[in-house]
Amino acid sequence: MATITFFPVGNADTSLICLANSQLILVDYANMRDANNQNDKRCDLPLELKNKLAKHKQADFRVVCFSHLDNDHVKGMGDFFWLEHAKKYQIDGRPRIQELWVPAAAITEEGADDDARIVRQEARYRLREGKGVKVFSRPEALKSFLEKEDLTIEKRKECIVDAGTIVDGFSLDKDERVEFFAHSPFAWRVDDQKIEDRNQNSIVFQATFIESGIETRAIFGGDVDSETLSEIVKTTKRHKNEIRLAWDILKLFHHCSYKAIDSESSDPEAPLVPIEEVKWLIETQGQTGCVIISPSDVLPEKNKKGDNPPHIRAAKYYKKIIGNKDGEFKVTMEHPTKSSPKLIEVSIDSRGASVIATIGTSIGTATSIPTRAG
Amino acid sequence: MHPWFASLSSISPEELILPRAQQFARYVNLHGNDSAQVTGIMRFPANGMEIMIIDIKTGCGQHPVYPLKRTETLAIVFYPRDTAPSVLSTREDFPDTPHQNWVPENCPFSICIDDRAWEEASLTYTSAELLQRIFLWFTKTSKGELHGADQPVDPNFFTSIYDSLLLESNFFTSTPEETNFRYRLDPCGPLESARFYTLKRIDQNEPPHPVDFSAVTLSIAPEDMTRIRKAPNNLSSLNQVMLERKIDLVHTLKEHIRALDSSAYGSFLILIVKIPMLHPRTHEVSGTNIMAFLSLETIGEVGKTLGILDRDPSKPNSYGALIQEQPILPNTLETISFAPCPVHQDFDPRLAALLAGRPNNNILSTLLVGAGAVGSGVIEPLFREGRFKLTILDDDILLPHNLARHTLSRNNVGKFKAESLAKHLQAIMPTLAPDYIVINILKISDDPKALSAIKSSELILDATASVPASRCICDLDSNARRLSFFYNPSGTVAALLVEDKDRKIDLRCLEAHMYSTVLHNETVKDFWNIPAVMTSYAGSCRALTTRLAASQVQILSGLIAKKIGQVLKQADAKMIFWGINEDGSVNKIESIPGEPLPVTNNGGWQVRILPYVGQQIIKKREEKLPNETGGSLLGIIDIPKKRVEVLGIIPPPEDSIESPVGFTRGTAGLYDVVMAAIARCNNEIRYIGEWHSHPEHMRNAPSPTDIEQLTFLTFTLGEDGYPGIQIIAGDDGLNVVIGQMDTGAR
Repeated sequence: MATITFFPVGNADTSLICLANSQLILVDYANMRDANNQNDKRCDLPLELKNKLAKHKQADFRVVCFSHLDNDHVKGMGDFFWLEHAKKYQIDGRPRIQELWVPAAAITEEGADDDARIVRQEARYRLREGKGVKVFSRPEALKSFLEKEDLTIEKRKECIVDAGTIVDGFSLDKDERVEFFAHSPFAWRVDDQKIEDRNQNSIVFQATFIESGIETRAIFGGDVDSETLSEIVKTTKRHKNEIRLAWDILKLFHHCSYKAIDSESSDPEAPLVPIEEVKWLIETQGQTGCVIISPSDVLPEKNKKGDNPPHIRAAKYYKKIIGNKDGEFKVTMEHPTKSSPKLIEVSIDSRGASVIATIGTSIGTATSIPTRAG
Repeated sequence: MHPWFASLSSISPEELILPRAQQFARYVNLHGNDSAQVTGIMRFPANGMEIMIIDIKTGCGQHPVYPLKRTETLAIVFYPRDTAPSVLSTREDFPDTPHQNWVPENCPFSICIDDRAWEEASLTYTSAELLQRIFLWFTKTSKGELHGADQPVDPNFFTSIYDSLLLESNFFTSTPEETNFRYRLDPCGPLESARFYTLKRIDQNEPPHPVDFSAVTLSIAPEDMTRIRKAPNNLSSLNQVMLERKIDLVHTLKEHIRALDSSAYGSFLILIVKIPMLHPRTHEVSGTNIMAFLSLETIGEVGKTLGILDRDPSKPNSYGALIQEQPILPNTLETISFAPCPVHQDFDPRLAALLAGRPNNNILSTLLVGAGAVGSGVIEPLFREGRFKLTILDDDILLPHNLARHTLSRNNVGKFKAESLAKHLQAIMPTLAPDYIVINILKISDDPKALSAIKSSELILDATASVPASRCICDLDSNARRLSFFYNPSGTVAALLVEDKDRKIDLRCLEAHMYSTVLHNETVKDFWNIPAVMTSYAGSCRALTTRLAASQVQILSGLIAKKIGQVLKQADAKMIFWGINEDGSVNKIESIPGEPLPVTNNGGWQVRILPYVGQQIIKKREEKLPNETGGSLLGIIDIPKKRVEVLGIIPPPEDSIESPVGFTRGTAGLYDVVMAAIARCNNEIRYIGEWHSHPEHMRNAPSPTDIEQLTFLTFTLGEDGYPGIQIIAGDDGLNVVIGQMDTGAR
């Protein structure tokens, strides 16, 4: 059995896939919580991840994937992981990253700061070493970067994952019982852009799990908008690979932004009408009983102009679709309650995907809250 | 929502009265989060039930085994009396799954979230646990994991006006002559508090009672069975249920009533229905359930409704048969109510075997000799496993001090143990009631009943703890396999001797093996020599009994009983010792004795040699060649039966002389060795003769020197009435030579 855990980190992304063989795949790391603010309801991410490592008896992460370098996907990673590229990050007790997944833009981007820069440096180091990294897509900029390092694409081809291919190192037939298919980024997009657009260059992938012959699929959407999604859909259909966009679990694109449904939508009052490809993706590719996770803040009752994500119109659209599929729509900062959000755990077994129900107990409460005497 | 809820009144949370309902509402509001939400509260005014309507996220996966929804709306019913809450589905199309309760027609489906008795469940009941159990039910049911592989799948029965019924007789082998049998519900305990009733057959001569029953038995064939989810409660719905399963109930009842004497028309009907249990998904038959339906109208009214009887206008409450059957009027079958009642079949050998984990309920015709503490302690658990059709044989009387270890009671004191034990066991399982014979096994030669019991037995259990009795049992004219069991006097060791199925290794041989083991195995060397603390129970010097705790006896008996259950499935002979240490740990010695060497007969005496004794002699000969060697023999001598079992050899004393032309057995320390061996074996073994070997190329025929030795042995041992035994080992194996006083040496 596999599980996917979604962490309540605010309008940010952190998901943890625990494979059937207990290996852990972390998708983005965003420690957004203000430790000095007792009212901050976002979770203590380092603590939660350490608990997960201990629970699954893992010292390290099999994979850490940074879908892109935006702060809400990388914040605090430099304080948490053991990193190869510099000794100052090599502190006992820190979990290592066996394989780092980054989009090509994370390698080639100039001017990155803070944790984004740390990710970039780590990725570059590993790419130079030729191990422990997977770079998604091969734009010209990557080629140029490698040439400066006296390397070639050919020499580092095992570290490169093209869109439309299965990521090496995982198999449905082995004990991890999972397969990853890369949808994005597209090399041509990266080459064509005039200004770097991290969101549109983020990693979008489909994970397929298998249990007792039953396949369950999860799409991790990065922060792409409807335009990129449209390209993904068209490309997938062109290759007659529609199964690669089927999903039972969908980690929403860009924190439930309306732009993932229709990036051109301008009327804040009108119901959102998805563009054709997004409509196809959301309304036909979601399976019965599917689960949609919005990694976002509490949904507003009404969005002010420019206030996005999350967007209530997007949420309403998704909820309507989910309702027709006897599925569930969950918001990370609203589960199980807005006042006390907790981890969302989705289990994947021979009966498909299901959200593990959480109810409070007196024991659970008493043992999870520090109590003082004296 | 199910129409049943329409009869309920909505109330506000503040109007809740029942404490558990209040707690539950509060709990769900505080901790249900998005997994459970109260969406309505109702009350059933007639009986004060308070019902919480909740939406719960069931945690079902995308492909549940049963069509359960991600969100189900349930009704949690809390009762004014102290009992478990019920969990009902509010939808009429709730799927059929394992672990649902039967419900009456027109009632919503009820899921079984806890199969513990409320007395136990209430100890740890909390609202959180209730909700957790509901979640668990859905999660596991959606994965098809709720039903254990060996757990019945059929629903529990809805409670009725009768809590439970015990069937005493086997209703499913009734004959037409039994149609007119009358039955009565006999409460188990005071009537006002009875929850369990026995359906007892009434003697035909007994005057009628206002509530007598006439029984009709129905069996649904497995191939015709489909799941029943609603408990029918009137003749119309019952008939419909039966028709769907190819039983014409109306026709059956008409035939039954027609066959009844008119005096039965004032009685009531009880329908006993055998229902195969089907798994809701696989439809595999996993067992049989029995349900009873008791009519709430008399047979007369039933017959009138069926159009075969009518009221006799000249006598009140009287009915007569109609000459011309009338058609059944529309909607009248519904007026005949039936109360469903769960049935417990009597504890019988089939059930006993099932509960003991025995795949088949093979019952052996068995003679138990000895109804003392050993016999009673061992036989009772085996009897409860449904293993034996017993005849118990013993002539002893139960004395007060026996109660320290016996399974019988104070009211049996002064009575024959055999009879009391038989009745005691009969009270456990009447259908396997044992027979008994009050007689001493040593004096049965003229008793036809005892001889018949012996002849017809497939198994004979020796619980006499008596050497002569054990040997007598061995010699009985019967092919039955024998088992003998007993404790040592101090109660620290139990022994079980098991013959092989062909009786080639019989109890006498096993007795010899036992002594041989005691002689050679350090673990049991003190089997008879650990002092038993005795106490006097009466004035006579012989009125002594061992101080042995009942708890110790129970352990020993349990070990023996369990092993008997195992060895009965095996063909070979066995000898087992169990020693209990002070700390409660148990040591076990188990061996498979070999078949004795062929019997040597001479002058009426039979001599057998344990196989390893023969092997030892041959081996020692080979070791000592070219010299001759030898030693003394130990064995059991049964003078009355003229039987000798050679069970051991004593090494030659150090002053013995071994040469190629002869062997002289010395005497240094021999007496002490022999006496020590005898003492170790409870004085049951003897010095019985000598053995020696011949050199190579020499056969085992006695030489003139050997004849001299034999003569010496014959005359010496003859003074005690024994023969002289000489065993010679030569190139051609062993030769057993027997010398008798009255016939002289051969």
